Amino acid sequence: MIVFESIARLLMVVHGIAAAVLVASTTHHLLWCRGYLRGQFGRQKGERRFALVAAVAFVATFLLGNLLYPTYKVRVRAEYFDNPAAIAAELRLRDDQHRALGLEVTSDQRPPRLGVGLAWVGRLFDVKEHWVAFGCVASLVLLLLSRRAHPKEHPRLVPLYVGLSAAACMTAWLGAIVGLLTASYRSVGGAL
Amino acid sequence: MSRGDRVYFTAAAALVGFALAYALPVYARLPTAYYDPVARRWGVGRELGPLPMGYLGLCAWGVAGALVAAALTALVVRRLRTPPSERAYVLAAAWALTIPALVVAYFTWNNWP
Repeated sequence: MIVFESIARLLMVVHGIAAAVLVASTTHHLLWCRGYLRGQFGRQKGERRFALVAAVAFVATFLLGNLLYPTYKVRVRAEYFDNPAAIAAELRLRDDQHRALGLEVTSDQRPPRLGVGLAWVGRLFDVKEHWVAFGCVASLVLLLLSRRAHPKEHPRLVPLYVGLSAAACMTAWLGAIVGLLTASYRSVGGAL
Repeated sequence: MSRGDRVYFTAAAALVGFALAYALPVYARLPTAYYDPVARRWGVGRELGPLPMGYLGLCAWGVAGALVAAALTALVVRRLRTPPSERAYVLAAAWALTIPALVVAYFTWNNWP
């Protein structure tokens, strides 16, 4: 038994909810603080709140993702994405079921050649991991600056502050999109 | 130097320290902590296979690097008698944003599908 596998589905749902909060809060934060580049600090109260929500959401999403990671690594990555034979077998089953239902089999549902598979999805997921690690750190540093050295009192901090907000927002979006893409492969189907 | 300025330079150093220390074990092939989800045990090693999870070890390296860089910078800026120049603020922001971007680009290049 893989650690946390018994509650992996629950973890995934909560991970998804935390990620939605994360994407929303980092996007709001970036929109709220973009005026700082023009010296406009009218939204700083709400912006500080979003910095807190974004940091908490980033850490929560990151921790939940790490709890899910062992299950993903074995059940999804090793047993499916990096296993072209498993993908081909599943596509053959789907192909048979398509025919049984009287549906036309489209080109992307035909069994792939052996050796062609979803390893690229696994590698894309690896890229995402590194991006979100840096996004998590960026959001924590942003929270620290918002509490101890806010650009309203220290205008020279504006480039780093807005840059970190943009980095946190970009990594949150990338993480969400790649995460959804990864999770879609067995549900929606398709292997190429 | 105000408290806000000290926080700023310390935070910038922490970002650079995290990025460099995060990349170091991969670039220099140093041992890193990992978790093997099949054997259900932790270990330390290098050149890990497909199943052991070295990601958590990289994060630990990064956190250690951030703490060391932040501590050293906090010590240095506390001793500064004159306020840093305008250029120092710009450089700190540039390094704090560029080094992590380069490290992320390095990992993206290495793992690109």
